[in-house]
Amino acid sequence: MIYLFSFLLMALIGVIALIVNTFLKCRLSEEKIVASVILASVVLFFSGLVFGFKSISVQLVSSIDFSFSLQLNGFSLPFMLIAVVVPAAVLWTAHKEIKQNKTLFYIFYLLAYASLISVFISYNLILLFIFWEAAVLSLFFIIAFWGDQKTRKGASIKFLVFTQLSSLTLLAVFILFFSYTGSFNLGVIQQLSALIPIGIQYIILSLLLVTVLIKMPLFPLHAWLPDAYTSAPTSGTILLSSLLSKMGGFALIIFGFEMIPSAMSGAQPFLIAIGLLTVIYISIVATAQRDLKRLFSYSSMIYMALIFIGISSLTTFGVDGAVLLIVSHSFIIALLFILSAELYDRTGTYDMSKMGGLASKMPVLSFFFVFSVLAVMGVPGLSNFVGELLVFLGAYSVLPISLIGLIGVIISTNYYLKAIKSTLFGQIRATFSKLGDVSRLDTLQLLLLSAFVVLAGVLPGLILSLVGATI
Amino acid sequence: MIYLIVIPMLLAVLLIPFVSGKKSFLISSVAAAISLALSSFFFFEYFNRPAIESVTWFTSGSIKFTLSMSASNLTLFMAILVSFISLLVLVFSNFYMRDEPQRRYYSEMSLFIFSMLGLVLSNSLLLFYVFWELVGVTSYLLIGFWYGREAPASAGKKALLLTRIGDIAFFAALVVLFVTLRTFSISTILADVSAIGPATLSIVASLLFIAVISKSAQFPFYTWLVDAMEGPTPVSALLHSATMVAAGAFLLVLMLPLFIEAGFGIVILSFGFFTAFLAALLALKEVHLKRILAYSTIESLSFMFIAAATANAGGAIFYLFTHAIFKSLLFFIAGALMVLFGSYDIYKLKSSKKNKGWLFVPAIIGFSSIAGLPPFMSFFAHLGVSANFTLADSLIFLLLSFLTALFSFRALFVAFGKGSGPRPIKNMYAYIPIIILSAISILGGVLLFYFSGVILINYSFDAFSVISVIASLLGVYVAFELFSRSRLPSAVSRSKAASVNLSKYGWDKIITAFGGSFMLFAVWIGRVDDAFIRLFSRLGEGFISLASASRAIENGDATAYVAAVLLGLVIIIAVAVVFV
Repeated sequence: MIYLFSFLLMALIGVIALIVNTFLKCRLSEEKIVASVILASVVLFFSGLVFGFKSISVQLVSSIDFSFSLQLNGFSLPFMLIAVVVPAAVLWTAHKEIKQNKTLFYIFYLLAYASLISVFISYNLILLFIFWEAAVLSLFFIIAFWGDQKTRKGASIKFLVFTQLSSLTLLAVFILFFSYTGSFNLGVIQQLSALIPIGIQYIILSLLLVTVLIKMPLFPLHAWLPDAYTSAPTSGTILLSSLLSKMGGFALIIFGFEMIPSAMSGAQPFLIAIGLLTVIYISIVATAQRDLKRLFSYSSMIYMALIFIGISSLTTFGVDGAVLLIVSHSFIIALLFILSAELYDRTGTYDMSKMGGLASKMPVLSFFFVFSVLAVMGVPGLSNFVGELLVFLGAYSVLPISLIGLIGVIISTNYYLKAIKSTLFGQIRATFSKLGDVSRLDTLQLLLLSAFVVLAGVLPGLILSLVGATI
Repeated sequence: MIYLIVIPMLLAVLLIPFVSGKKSFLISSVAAAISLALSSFFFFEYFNRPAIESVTWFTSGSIKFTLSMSASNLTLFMAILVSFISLLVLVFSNFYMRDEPQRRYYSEMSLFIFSMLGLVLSNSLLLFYVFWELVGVTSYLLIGFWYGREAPASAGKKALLLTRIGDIAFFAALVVLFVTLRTFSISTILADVSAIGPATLSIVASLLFIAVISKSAQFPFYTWLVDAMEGPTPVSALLHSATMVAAGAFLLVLMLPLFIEAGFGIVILSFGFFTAFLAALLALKEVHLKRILAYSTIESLSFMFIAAATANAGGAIFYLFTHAIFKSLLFFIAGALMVLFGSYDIYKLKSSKKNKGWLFVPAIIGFSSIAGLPPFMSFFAHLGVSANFTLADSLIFLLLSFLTALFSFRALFVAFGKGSGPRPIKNMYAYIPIIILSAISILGGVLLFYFSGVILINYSFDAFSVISVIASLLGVYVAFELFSRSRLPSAVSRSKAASVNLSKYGWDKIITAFGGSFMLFAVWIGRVDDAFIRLFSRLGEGFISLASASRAIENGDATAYVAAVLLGLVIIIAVAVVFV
C-alpha cells in the first residue's frame, strides 16, 4: 500500500534538499534533486496502481470541518497519472531553458508538482483549495520570473487576475456546499448534495462555471490564455496547458457532474452551446495564427471545449471520453510545446512563415512533430481518437446538433497541416542549412511522451479502468 | 485467426526503421508475400463459410466497444487483391526508388498496405473507420514524400484535407449509427436498416456518401487525386489500384443496402455519370501522362459507382478488381517511361523520338483496358457494369465509352509516337510486374464466368455490349485520325482551348478561393479576438493604476497587513453568517 501523502512528503524532502543544497553550497545540481524526487513519485504512483493507495485523514479544525484528508475520489487516478508523469518529462525542457535562479525555480516547480497531485486527491475542500491556490501561485511566479522578458509582466498579472477570480468563485462554491451540507468532506457533500435546493444548485453552477470557463479556459473567458501560454517559459507553458487547465475539467466533473447533476442537466443545452461555440470560434481564430506557440495555445482550447461538452452531456460516454481526452491531451500538448521550443531553439523564431524545409535537417524532430500533430488531429490508434468519439457519442445522444462541433475539427485539420507544411516541408533556407537534429536525451523525452500517446490510443481501456477507483 | 493477414505488414512497419538499405525492401515484400499467402489460404478455408471474429476493445459504462473482422468471400477476395497488387508495387519500387536516400519509404508503404488490408477485413464500422483514417494519413505522407519541393508538399496537404472532410462525415455517421442502433457491426447495421427512422437514415446515408466520394475522388472532391500525382509513381500505382480510392468504392459496396434503403440509388448514379463525363473530358486535354491516368481512375471509380447504383455490387467489385490490375500496370509503364525519358509529358515523350521498346505492348493492353476493348479483361468487366442498365443509362454509357476510348488512345498514340533505336529496360524488378499484370489483363476475362460463384454478380452479353464496343472502336479511330495521323490539327488545338476553359483549374480555383476567403475571415476573427484580449489587458492595467493610487495602504507595515487580512476575513465570515 502506498500512502497518498507520500507524494507531498517527497516534494517536501525535495524542497528542503534544494534549500540545503544552496545554503551549504553543495555541488549537487538542482535538476538532479528534482529529478530524483519526481522519479520516486512516478515509481510510487505506479506501485500504488499495483498495490493500492492508502488514504489519510487527520482532523485539524473541527468547527469548520477542516481536516488533512487525502483519498481517491473515483476520478483521481487518471488525473494523478498526468500530474505525476508529465512533469517528469518536462523536467528535461526546464533543464535546458532555465539558467537563472535555478533553486527558486525548482522550488516552485516542486511546489506546483506536489500541489497539482494533491488537488486531485484532497478529500477535504479547504485542503483542496489550499493546494489549488498553491498550484496557481507557483505557476504565476514561474511566468512572472522566468517568462519572456518583454511580455511576462503583463501576461502574469493578467493570468493572476483571472485565476484569482476563478479561485474566488470556487471558494464561494465550497462555502455554499458547506452551508447546505455542513461539511467540507467530499464524500459527505456527495451524499447530501441532492438535498440542496435547486435554486441554490443553479447559483453553485453559475459560480462553478466562472471557475471552469477561466481555468480550462473556454470562450469568452479565455483572454488570459494566449499571452500567458506564449510568455511563459516552455516548461511553464506545458504545466499550464497540460495540467493546470485540467483542474477546470476536474472541478466540473467533481463539483458539477457528481454534486449538482440536476442543475447541470437543466442548463445542459446552454453548457453544450458554450462548448460548441468555443470549438468553432477558436478553430477560426487559430487559423489566423502565424506564431507556432500561439497556434498550439489556441488550438488546445478546442480539446478543452470537447472535454467540457463531454462532461456536460452527463452521460457515461461523454464523461469517459472527457477523461480520456484529458489524459491524452496532456501528453500531446506537452509534445507539441516541447517540439515548438526545439524549433525555436534552432531557428530563433516561432513565426512559421520564417521556417520551412526543416525536415531535411532534422528527421527525428520532424517524425515526432508529424506524429504529434496527427495525434492531436485525432487519428485513430493515437490517444485523442477514442476520447473524441466518446465525447461526440455522449453529446449526440443528448443533443444531436452537437455534431456541428465537428466543423471545428475539419477547420483544425487545415491549420495543423499548414503548420507541418510551412515548418518542415518545402525548400530549406540557407541560414538553416547547418542546423542539427534533436539530441539523444531529447529523443528519449519525446519517446516517453509518445509512448503514452500510443498506449492510450491502442488500449484506451487502461485509462478508463482508472476511472471509478476509490479506496 | 483472420487478423493474421495484417500482422506481417505491421511487423514490417515496426522492423524497417531498425534495418538498413536493401533489407527494408526485402522485409516489406516478404511481409506482403506472407499476407498474400495467408489471404489465399483463408480464402479457401472460409470459402462460402463466412465467419466473424471479434474482440472487445474497451468498455465504457456497460457498453462494450468491439472490433470485429469478417472472413467472407468478398473480404478475403479483396485481401488477396490488395496483398497481390501491393507485392507487385513493392517489387516495382525496388526498381523505381532504387536511388532514394530517404529510408522511410518502405515503412510507410507497409503501413499503407497494413491499413488497407485491415480495412477490407473489418466487420466493425469502428475498425473500418480506424483503418480508413490510417489509409488517408499514410497516403498523405506518401504523396508528400518528396517534401523538399513545394508541389508534393501541397499535394499531400490537399489530399488529406479534402479526404478528411469525408473522414469527419464518416465519423459523424458512426456516432449517429451507434447512438441509434448501439452497434458498430456492419452485418447487424445492415440487418437493422429498416429500424432506423427515415430522417436519421437520410442523414447517415448523406454523411457516408460524402465519405465515399471524398475518398474515391469523385466530384466535387476529385482535385486531390490529380494533384496526388506528385507522389512517387509506385505510390500512385498503389493509391489508384487496390487501396485508398478503392476504399471509398468498397465502403459504398459494403453499405449498399443502406444507401438503397435511403433512396440514394439515383443520387449515386447521377454523381457517377456526371463525374465520369467530367473526368473523361478533362483527361482529353491533359498532357501529363500520370494526370491522364488519374482522370481515368476517377472515371473508373464512377463506373463502379454506377454499377453499385444499379444494384449490381458484384459488378462494381469485379470492375474494381480489373481496374486494380490494369491501372497499376499503366502506372508501372508510366514510371518506366519516366526513368527512361525523364518526363511524364506525353508530347515530350513523343518528341523524344526514341523507341519505347517492348513497353509498347503492355501499353496497348493497358490503354485498351481503359477503353474496355475485347479481348481484354476490362471488356468483361464492362459487361458486369452495364448489366442492370436502363435504356437511358445505356445511351449515356455509349457516349462515355466513346470519350473514354478517345482520351485513352490519344494518350497512347501521342506518348508512343514513332521512334528509333532500342532502349530496353533490363531491370527485372521493372519488367516482371509489368509482364504479370499484362498477362492477367489479357487472360483474366474468363474469371468473370466463375466470379458469380464467389460474389453474386449480374452480367449480360448482348447487343448492347457489341454496340458499346463499336462506340469505343469509334473513339479509337477518331483518336488515331486526330492524334496519330494528325488530321485536323486545328480542331485538336481548338478543342484543347475549349477544354482549358472548363478545365480542372476552374473548380480548383473555386476551392482555392474558398480557402483564401476563409483565411481572410479567420484573420479578421483573429483580430477581433486580439481586441477582446487587449480589452482585458486594459482592464488589468486599470486595476494596476488603481493599485498604485492606493499605494498609501501598502506602507510596508506588517502589522497593518495582518490587521487588514483579519478584518477581511471577519467581514467574509460575517457576511456568510448573516446571509446563510
